[in-house]
Amino acid sequence: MKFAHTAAPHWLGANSVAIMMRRVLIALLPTLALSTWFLGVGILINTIFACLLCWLLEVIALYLRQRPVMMYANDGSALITALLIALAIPPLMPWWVTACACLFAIVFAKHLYGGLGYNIFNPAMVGYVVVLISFPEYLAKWPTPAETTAGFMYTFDIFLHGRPSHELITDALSGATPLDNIKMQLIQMHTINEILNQNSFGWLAGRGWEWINIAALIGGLWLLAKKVIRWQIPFAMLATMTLLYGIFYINDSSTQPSPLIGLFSGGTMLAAFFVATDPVSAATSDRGRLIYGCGIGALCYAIRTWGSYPDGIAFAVLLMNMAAPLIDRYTLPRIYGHKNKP
Amino acid sequence: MSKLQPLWGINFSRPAIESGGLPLITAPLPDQLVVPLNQNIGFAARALVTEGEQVLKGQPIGAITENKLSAQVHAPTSGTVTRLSVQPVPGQDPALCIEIRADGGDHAWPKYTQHKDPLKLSPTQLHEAVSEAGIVGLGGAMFPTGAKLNPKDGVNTLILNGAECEPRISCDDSLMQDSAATILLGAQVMLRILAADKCVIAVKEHTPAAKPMAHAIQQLNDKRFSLVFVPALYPAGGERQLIELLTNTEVPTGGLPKDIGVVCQNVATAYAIATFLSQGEPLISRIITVSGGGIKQPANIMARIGTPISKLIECAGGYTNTASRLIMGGPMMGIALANDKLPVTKACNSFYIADTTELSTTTELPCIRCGDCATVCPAHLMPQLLLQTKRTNDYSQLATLGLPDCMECGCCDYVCPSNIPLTLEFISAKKTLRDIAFGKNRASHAEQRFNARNERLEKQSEQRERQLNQQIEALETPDTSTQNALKELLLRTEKNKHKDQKK
Repeated sequence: MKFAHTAAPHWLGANSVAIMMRRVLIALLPTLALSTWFLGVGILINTIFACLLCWLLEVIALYLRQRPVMMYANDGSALITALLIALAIPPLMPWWVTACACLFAIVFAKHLYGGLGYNIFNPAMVGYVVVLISFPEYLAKWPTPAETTAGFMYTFDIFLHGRPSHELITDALSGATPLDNIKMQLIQMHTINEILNQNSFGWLAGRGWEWINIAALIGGLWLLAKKVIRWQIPFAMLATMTLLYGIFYINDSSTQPSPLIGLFSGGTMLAAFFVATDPVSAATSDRGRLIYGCGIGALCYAIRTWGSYPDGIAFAVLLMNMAAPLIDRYTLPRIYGHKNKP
Repeated sequence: MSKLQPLWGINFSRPAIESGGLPLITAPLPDQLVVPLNQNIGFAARALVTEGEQVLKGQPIGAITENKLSAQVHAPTSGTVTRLSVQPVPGQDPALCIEIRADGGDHAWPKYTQHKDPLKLSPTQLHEAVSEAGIVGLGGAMFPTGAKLNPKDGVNTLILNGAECEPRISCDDSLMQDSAATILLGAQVMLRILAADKCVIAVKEHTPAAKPMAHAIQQLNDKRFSLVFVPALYPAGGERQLIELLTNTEVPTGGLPKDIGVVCQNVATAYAIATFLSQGEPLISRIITVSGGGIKQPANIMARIGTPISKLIECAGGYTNTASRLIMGGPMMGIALANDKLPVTKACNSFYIADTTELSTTTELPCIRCGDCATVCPAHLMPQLLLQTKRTNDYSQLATLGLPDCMECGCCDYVCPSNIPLTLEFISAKKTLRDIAFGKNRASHAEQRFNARNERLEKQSEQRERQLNQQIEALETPDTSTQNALKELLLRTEKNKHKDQKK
């Protein structure tokens, strides 16, 4: 009997890029649900729009690059990018801002660098940073509690035209994230305790935001359990942030937020488990991942505290993306039978 | 006993027919056997017989090539040599093979003595016997055992490998269940040859052989022996990985286990040594696992070297309808064979017949640098970086990143979510690295020769010039002796003239 010839190994594991991406998408669902619950239906509108657009852009880019369109377009990586963009930008957002973020993420950050696996920067963060710098008036404006519950038509009007068709009676203390609030009011000489006693803060950190961060944490732990991501990057990032927030908080607890506020505000958990862990743009050696995570944590704290943006995670991630190849080169493990590291 | 848990490797959670419990059967003697002469690493044996010659079971038919790494080959049964020809050999280059038509009598060659107590022989006698029996490493590497058991190496630990490297292979396991005492006798012989003081027997945990082996060691009551269970991880049974697990030391890169005072031998090798000494039968048969979804009744089969693979398949009930690959070795490092007409060699520990469901056909995607490959790599390499470097053809960097240390175990392929054929890429890159080194070597040789030639030519021309100058000089400077001689001659002629005039 004659047989075909193939090279070893003859067994292959069941893991695939599509499975990994699908798991990441599943792990993002709790965050998406709670974000929609606390920040309004705008999140959902942005998500659907970004997903459709990113997938379409992916298909067009693959077609233009003459790649097997269906094989790549179904891997789910474009949807993750879309979801991260939608979770990063405020819910009340005109469509052209979201579209701009998607365009820069998929076309510029991903496909112009060679597509999946070849992008140096995290596509979602590139898209987000482009609109953050280009459309500051939209990106800094977070919904007031009244707007959050304003309903679908109100949000959809902003999505279509950039401004609501009718004005709402707005709350004085609004239109900003809790991190923004803290920053602004510290400048106005309020103490942390005064700020935290305000209505926009909950039991842990910003009202609502604490739950969104917990959802991201749970999704992230599930990814860890499924071995889609490894513990080094989230651990190093969160540990560094805890340490830095802790040192400054112990030093002066009246003007510095506590580590808990730091960890459960803004996009901390989302970044720690879903953005910083993007394998393509992160460091890949074990020790390299620790350094990479530490770098993001430290930069994030620095930008939040001394920079002009309330949440610096996107910049922190992009800066460390640049350093990843170098980190890898200097953190190679010792090879079996060798005395020294290569 | 400490729990050994390495940080690398793969724990196969596949629904496997656990081959640990496979029955051990003996294959019937085939009518026609093909015995290749290159059944060892190094140089092929030299044929000792010619066509038409009668041979007996165990009679040497291939002799060691003098002063080279080589191993004896023996006739697996009695019969007539029908043909000597170059034929394909599974897992090896095509080589001269001796075809024997069995006479069915299986008459043994009487010249090998059966020792009642082989341990009474001197270490030198034992060492000679190992070489004489044509014993090679039966784990699949086929390194001549005589050369590996060198008393001058200063080895203190003998590791007896009963922890099959690959999943689905259980020939060693079934041998240990069947003849643990014989294996231990072989190990004692090896200890005597090496003058080593320790023997560690490694068995995979949860295998049926663990109990009989432990029992045999207890019965032997030899303080030098100990039994260690290694985790059911792939490739924990690989030589270097096993040494790392058992001794907590690593074999230096480019070196051999003996450099750290260890020699690793397969249990089947020990069995073969003991069989030769006590029964006078050289290495002419071995146990082979025949398993996989493509076979009807998986079994461990004791068969003569030279038996066609198709006979083993018959013994195991034949192929199922879905059989799609014939793999010599295990599913991770095995070699896919084109057909089953090939003969069984000393290297064949298993034939794995995969069916269509056991093989994955997937398309390759780009590397997403997830790093899973680095987590499982037993050599602690970074396959993702190696791949990137290979694709940019940066071969000097590949050498620095440790590509030559890749043992081609295939773990990285197995876990890769993008289904990149990493092992294949590395095998080809390793070959290119060797070619580059060879080319460099040749270039430096050529340069040396070129320089030497230039020097020689220069010296020659210098010498010639010197000689020429001397001649010119000699012509130009008036030679006093010649002048004197001329003067004398002239004087003499003058005198003679005077004489003539006087006359």
